[in-house]
Amino acid sequence: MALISPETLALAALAIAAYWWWRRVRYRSWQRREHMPAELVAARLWGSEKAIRTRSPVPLFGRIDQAYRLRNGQIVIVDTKTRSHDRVYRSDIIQLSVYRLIITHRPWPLPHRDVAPYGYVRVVQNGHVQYRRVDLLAFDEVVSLYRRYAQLRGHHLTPRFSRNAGMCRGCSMHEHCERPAA
Amino acid sequence: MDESRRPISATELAELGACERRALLKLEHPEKVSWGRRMARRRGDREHLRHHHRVVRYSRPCFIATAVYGDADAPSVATLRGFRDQVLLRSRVGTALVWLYYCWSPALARRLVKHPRLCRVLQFFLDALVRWL
Repeated sequence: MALISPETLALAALAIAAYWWWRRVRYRSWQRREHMPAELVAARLWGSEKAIRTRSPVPLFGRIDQAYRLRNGQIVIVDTKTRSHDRVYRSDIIQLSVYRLIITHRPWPLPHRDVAPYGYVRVVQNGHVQYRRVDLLAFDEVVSLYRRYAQLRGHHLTPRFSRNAGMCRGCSMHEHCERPAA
Repeated sequence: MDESRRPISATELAELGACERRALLKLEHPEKVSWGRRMARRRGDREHLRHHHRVVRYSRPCFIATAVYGDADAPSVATLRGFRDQVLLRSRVGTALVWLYYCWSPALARRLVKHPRLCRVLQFFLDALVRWL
């Protein structure tokens, strides 16, 4: 007598097929809700919440939210921002550009990667998701920002105020800053 | 440490894009965060974690790659992947083991992300396995 009857096997196969179909449906529905760009839908996840660092050309570190590997081998970085308005700031572009520099110059023995000169800021606004494509800074711009920050920390340069005076209103450092609120 | 060679985080450098003065003041003074902002940050952290879990669950990456090594292209992961494809998937028992692995790995990966120490322990054993392979 067979240990497992053909009916049981058929039922198990059916259950597995139903499970994978359900997963696929859920995945598609999630992708629709996400409004994910087509190139990312077809891409493979390269890393998620992953710590990265480099020593060259300048010592930098960070933690990427997500990075995807496209079919052509390029890595595209995605950073999530939860905001009350759908907007991308210069600080987001700098952050993504730093990640790009780190991934491209990862220390040995990790292989160097070709990272796309653009990235996506995933803006979550009241549960609604939008992917905003942004062009990233060149490596030398990131390096000069690093040098500027080092000089600012060493008090060799005077720090600039924000160009947007309205930002001072909600600033957490307002009481220590000389600039009056706009 | 030489100030010009100090490791700087991406978030710290990004602050320069908003306001250089605030970036420096944050180093000297403890930040006073309002209740509303604290709640907003908490919401942001929750969204990050939720999205991470979803991405890991749906993309079916190797849990070793995402959680333990933090890199799908790490040499150890490539060795383990080769073992899966060239040894395990050639037998029925091996195929069943791989299937079981993919059933359980997303849940395990979600837990491992929260426990870096456990990741390090697991990495020690996996490294030994990779050396043996």
